[in-house]
Parts: sequence; structure tokens; C-alpha cells
Amino acid sequence: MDYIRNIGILTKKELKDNFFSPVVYILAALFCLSMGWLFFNYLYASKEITDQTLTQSVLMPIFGNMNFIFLFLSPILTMRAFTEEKKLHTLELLLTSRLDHFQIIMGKLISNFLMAAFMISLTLIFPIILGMSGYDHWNIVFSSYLGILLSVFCYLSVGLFASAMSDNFVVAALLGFSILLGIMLFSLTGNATENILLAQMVKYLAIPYHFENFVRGGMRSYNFVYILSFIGFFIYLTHIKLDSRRW
Amino acid sequence: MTLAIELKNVVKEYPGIVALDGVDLEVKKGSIHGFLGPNGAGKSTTMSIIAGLIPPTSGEVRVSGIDALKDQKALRSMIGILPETPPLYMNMLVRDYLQFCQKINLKREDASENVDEIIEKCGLGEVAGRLIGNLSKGYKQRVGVAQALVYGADTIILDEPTIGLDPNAISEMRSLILELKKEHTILLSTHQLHEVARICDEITIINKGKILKTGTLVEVQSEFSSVKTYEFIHQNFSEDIKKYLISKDYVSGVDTLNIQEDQKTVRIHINSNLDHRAELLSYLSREGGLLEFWERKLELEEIFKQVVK
Repeated sequence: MDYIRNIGILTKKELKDNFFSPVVYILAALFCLSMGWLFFNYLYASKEITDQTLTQSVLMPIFGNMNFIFLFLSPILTMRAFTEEKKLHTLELLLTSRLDHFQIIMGKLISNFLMAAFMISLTLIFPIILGMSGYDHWNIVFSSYLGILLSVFCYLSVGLFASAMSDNFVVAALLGFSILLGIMLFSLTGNATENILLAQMVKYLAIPYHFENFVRGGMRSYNFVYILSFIGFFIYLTHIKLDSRRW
Repeated sequence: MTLAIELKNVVKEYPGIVALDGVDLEVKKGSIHGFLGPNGAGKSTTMSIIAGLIPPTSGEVRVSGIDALKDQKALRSMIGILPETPPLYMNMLVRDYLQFCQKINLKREDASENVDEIIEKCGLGEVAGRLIGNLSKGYKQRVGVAQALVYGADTIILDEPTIGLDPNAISEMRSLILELKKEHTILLSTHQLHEVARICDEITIINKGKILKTGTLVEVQSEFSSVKTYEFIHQNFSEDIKKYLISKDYVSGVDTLNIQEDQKTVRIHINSNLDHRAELLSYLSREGGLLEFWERKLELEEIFKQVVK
């Protein structure tokens, strides 16, 4: 219990820092603006497309775009997580405290996740609007939101690792974005081979492959295994990076 | 005497560099121990090792008798450190910051130290509700010291706490350190040598990763004062007096340092270990006009220069 409480102490402090900073509000505003514009366009276009359900014509592209936007936003959200600590020399304060590396990483990851969740929560107006026009596939809405939250958690774990790797937040953001883009490219790489097994294996490594299952409402246990392994892998890399300060 | 900090043959190597080369250090409980050395001598590395920030390559580190390398968790509650750059969150209020530091270092049930008491002790009462980023350098250093105290550590490491402070802030920091001595052992690193001479019970001089001298200031001074020197102010100092003094076989030289109206400040260099003060005093008094007479001790600055050259 005390272990969880320690994570909570850092999460609370980080959240306070972030919500007192204008960055999160600027990002939230830009995010709302772009998502609102996209939603309006998809909704408007859905009038013309009569052979598709609202899930196919509005919900799936909206969540696909949201996922793509977070590819850029996540490294920006996490870029200062460790670079700022290094700049202020406060990382030593954390590293010499009774918090272990996992608690420090989780504290920062959860606080960033809650910020991203706050931004995502602003889009809850979309299913409400769809509901008013008779849409009732709430299980798809639920699984799509679960998918985007898990997908963003993956992105943030990469962003956090990039932040631990660099002393400069711009470099951290670029590094995080590059890693994420590299992982996204696995989807395209899979198309380059005629070997079906190899193509499946390579595609399996890309986040969108798993995210799509959530948006279609057909998530499988291996999707959760992949996401947990992905997050665990980058948490481990971040831990190694923090530990390397003692080498 | 119980030791608060004990380092035995501590070595710290980085690829191609030996930062610490067999460092032995003893800091007595309840003392203020000055840790001196030029930039890059190994002071901060030694302090970081004591505080558990970095591990040594080899050697033994004990804090209050406990093996600091094995029991890192116990070390946390025993050592508080103010690094050269205080680890401060600029966008936090002073009180919130200190409470945060306490929470991440102590279990709820162990948080016996009252943050408000520490705020008062460190003279931060007026600024407790202000953002750290808006404070003056002097106050920021004080918040850094408060951070080192907030989890009830017995031993405090202060790495250059007076760096960049104005004379008033230095004086306030000195008073704070002396106040802390009542309840804590302090290992203090600073380049303000006159401050060290004023407040430290013992000093250690390190250079190029090796301990060069350690002991009380008097011990270090006497070790370096192989040639004893006396100084006096005389109203009637003449060539005859000088000739008489030089004629003594235990006097190796006589220099006139300062002439002010009818007063001369004179230095006598003695090349004997015997105490000749009585004889010299008697002669100089007889001549009439002796105003002051003292044995000159080497200033810490001179010793420092000699040791590290």
C-alpha cells in the first residue's frame, strides 16, 4: 500500500506542475480544434455515404486520427519529464529518495497519462452527439476509448524513455517521435514482403495493428499482451537509463 | 569520539580517470568538518559517494557506524545533502516543496520532523508561501539547506553553500550552519577559506583525488609552521635592535613589514623549536616602545596554497 502511495505522491506533484503550466491547455485547445474539425467533416460526409454505418464512417476514422495526433502530442507531453529534472538537478533528489526507479517512472507515466486522458475526455462530446442522432453501439465506443487510452499509454512510455535519454527537451521530443514513427513503419514494412507469416510478425510489432482491433470492437487477449509488453519494455529501458547514472 | 562519517581507502574510477585515489576521511560526530580543495579535486565526488548518489569503485563508507554501501535505505534517514546546485523545483511553494521532500524520503509514521519548525530554523518563515523561483539566491540556498534537514538526518553535507552569495547572505549562512551544529554533524565544502577558519572544528584538504592534510586547524597550522615567526609593533625600532636580534643564533631573519608614523611592524623568523618568546619580549620591552607582540600563525589560505601547489 505504501508502495502505491509513493507513486501517488509523485503523480500528484507532477499533475500539479503540469496543470499549472500553460502547455497542457494550449495542447488541449489545439487537439480539440483539430478533432472538432475532423468530427464535423466526417459527420457531414457520412450523409453522402449510405452503405456504411456511423461506426465505419465517423467513429473509426475519428479514432484513427486521434491515434495519429497523439503520435505527435505524446512526446511533447513527456519531453520535460526527465530533461527538466536534470536541468534543475532535482533528479538526484528523486533518485536518493526512498522511491525506487519503478515508482519514479510510474509516477511520471501516470501523471502524463492523466493529462492525455483529460485531453481525450474532451472528445466525449462526439459519442454524445452521435447518440442524439440514434447511434447506440456503445460497446464499440467503449472499446475505442480503451484502445486509444492504451495506445497513448504506449506512446507516453516511449516519450518518457526519450526524455530520460536526453538533456534537452526538444531533442527528447524529436527522439520520442522518431522512435514512435519507426514503430509505426512496421505496418508498412509488413506489406513489403510476400511471406504472410513474416508480414504478420512484423505487423504485430506496430501499435496500429492492435489499436485497430479495439476500434473494430474485436480486441483479443494478444492485443493486451502486446500493449503490456510494450509498456514494460520501455519502462525497463528507462530504468536502465536512470541506473546508468550510477555506473 | 564517535564518528559520523568514515571513509576507508575509497577509490572512484571513471574510464581513463581516477577521481578518488584511496581517500580516507573521518568526520567526528557533532563537529563542523571543512572539506577543502581546488576545483576538480574530488570534493563533490567524495560527497556524492557519502550521500549514496554514486557508488565507489572500491573502499568502505560508514555513516554513523552503518555500512552506507550495503544499507542504502538506512543511509537516507542519516544523511542530508545540499549539492552545489540546490535541487529545487522553481514552480513550487517553499512549504509545498519541503513537504514533498519529506514525503518522498520518509514513511508517513516516521515523519517526526515538523516542516514548519525547519522553516523557522532556516529563517524561511517570511517566504514559506512564495514560489521558490521568485526567491533570492540566499533564500534559495536556505531552502536547499532546509531540504537537507527535512527528513531528520543527523549528518548534513553542504557542498559550497555560500557560492554566489553576497556578504550579508554569507554571514547569515554562517550563522545558520553554526546553529545547525547544535543538533547535526556538518561536512562543509567551500572556497571561502576564512569562513572555514571561523566555523570549522577540523579540516581536510584534498587534491587530485588524494587527501593531503587532515586535522584541526591548529594541528594543520603547526604542521606547516616549520619556521616559527613572531611579529611585534615597536615605536622605537632601530638598526641597533635589528642587529641585536640578528646576532642571536636562533633568529634566521628580521623583516620590517610596515612603517606607520613612529610605529614599525616587524617580523622575526626563528629557526629553533624552543620557545624564545620570554627572552625576546624581555629585550624588546627593555628597549621601550613595544606596543604588541604575537606569534604569527599561517593563514589557512597560505596553507591551502602550499598544500595544493
